[in-house]
Amino acid sequence: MSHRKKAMLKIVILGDSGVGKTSLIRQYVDNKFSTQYKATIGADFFNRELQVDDHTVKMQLWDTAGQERFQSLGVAFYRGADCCVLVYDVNNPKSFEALKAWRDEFLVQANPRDPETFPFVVVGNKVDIEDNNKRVSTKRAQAFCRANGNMPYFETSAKEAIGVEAAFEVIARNALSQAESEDYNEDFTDAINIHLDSDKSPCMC
Amino acid sequence: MDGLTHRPTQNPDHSVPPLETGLNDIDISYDSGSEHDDNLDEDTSNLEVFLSQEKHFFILSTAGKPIYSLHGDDNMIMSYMGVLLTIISFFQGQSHDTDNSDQLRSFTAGNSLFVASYEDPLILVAISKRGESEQQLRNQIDVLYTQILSTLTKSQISRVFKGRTNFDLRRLLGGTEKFLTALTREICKGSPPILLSALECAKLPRTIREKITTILLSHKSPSLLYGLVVSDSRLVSVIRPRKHSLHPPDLLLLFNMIFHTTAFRDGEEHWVPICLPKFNSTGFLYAHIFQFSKNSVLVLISADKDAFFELRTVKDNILKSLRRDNLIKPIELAVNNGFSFRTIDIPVPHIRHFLYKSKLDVQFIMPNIEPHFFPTTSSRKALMGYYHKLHAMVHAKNGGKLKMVYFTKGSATFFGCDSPTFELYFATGPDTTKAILTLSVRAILAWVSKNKERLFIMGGGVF
Repeated sequence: MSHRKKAMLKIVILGDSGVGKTSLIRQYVDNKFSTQYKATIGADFFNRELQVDDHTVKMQLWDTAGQERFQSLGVAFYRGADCCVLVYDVNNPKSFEALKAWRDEFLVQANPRDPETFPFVVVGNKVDIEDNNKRVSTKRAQAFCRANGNMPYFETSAKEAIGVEAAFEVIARNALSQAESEDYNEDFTDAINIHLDSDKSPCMC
Repeated sequence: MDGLTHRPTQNPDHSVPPLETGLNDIDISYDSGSEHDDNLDEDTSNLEVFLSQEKHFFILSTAGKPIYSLHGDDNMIMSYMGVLLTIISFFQGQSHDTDNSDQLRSFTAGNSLFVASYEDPLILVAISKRGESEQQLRNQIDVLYTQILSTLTKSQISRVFKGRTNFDLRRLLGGTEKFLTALTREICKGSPPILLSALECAKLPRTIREKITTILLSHKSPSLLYGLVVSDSRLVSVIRPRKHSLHPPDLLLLFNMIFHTTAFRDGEEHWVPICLPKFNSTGFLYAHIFQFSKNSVLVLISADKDAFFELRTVKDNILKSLRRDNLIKPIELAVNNGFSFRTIDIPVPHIRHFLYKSKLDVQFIMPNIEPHFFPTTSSRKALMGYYHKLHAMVHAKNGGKLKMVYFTKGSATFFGCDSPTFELYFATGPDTTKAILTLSVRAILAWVSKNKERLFIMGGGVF
């Protein structure tokens, strides 16, 4: 802990159960993919360091459980996030339709200072699966993102490692600008008014 | 959290908990040249080493962003902080309630005790395998919290987190992390002042101390709030306004910064903003700090940030007078080589070491730790471990508070008692009878009483 500190960014990943949140993170952090599905219990945590222009940032990735029964931990997970990633499965329209609810849920729980400008990134995952009947069209997804504060939109395959790096680069970039927009510059100006002749009783401790 | 209870096979210094072994056993098994017991130069990226630590301190924001960790590098602690926050939050449920009414306070996992303290917007966690009590660990994290306050003030911390719970407080703490590390290092050694929440004074003849105090008083200037002479973490003399006392926890922070880091002991004048949280946690005072001899420092504190030149003059005048009256040498002698006084100065046979705290003065004394009895770092740490155990026993809140307790471990008997006016803990020879223990207590009390004015600062100089 003695070296110079890098920007620390908290990224929260949300979306319905089974859309591939954990797979996306694992692909991004470890370049690994597993075909076995294992529900995330409560939450899991991953880190990755990344260079964004001349900044090195550390991303603290909060992988949340999509299943409703684990959602009682809401506030703590969302509080103080620098970016929220909304993930759906392009072959599952229901998971796409749930994005609005996830976004609203996040804004209520995280209560960011400026909800209008808070950075979200939308990721449509599992583009490697060919199923044109069910598929949520890119156009439809883009329209939704535009209508909801111009959220950046990415299509990915965690399995084939398509679009994952690109998506996370924008996630990191937007999170960093969010963290910096909230930067704090103030002098150490709190002075104490000492009244040497006041009646304040002396403390004996 | 299973990982935390993992006890590795390497790292022999930590393989025997000090509280379960006699002093002599430890002397033998540990006397293999390894005086380096704190693992502070550990390989920070090694998970095994991280998990094997006896003690951990974590400070995080309520968003789960790391602020401080004693061990481990960022990559290791980032997930850890998330897990800690998850556990703590689970018990807070859905409420935004941040008072301490429904907070997880402590839990054990294996032989690790976890203690959490919620100081919105910060969360502090202590984890220990050493057998300290919950209250002792809570006291330790409170010391770390006051250190953060002393750097930033409570009002500034509230302001930066207001509306930006994502704030990364490490940006503001900057290089002051070394003060936290110095504190945790002392805590890990078993620091008596932190255990007892009391100050130690330099043992000095009454006349010498009075002369020094008179000099401090005679040179006081209008904006001077407090003046202190401190030698090797021991208070030599203090002056203060009648209406304002100095609080030992604040002085503890100050002494830690001065004597447990090298920041202020370079022979230069230092002018630093410092918040003394128990005095006033919302604002800064300004301290002029100057080391005037090998172990001794003059500290002049003002509420006025423009008082530097005024206090510099005060400093020059005080030092001139101290030199003129040949007072620097006795101050240095009083603490030379970490020397306060020796157990053989006290007419109590068999006593190896003791701690005596005067509750009214909030000061404690202890003799030099004799290498004859405590030759290694580990044996000294074990002694402090026993003091913690005795302290916990006489301060236990439930189950019938013991006023007096003793036990024999290995080659030593340990005694502790808590009375309305003092606390006393000591180590003596093995299998000492109750009658001898009673005599020892009486003899120590009589000696302390007889030397009271040399050992304690009674009120200090008041203006």
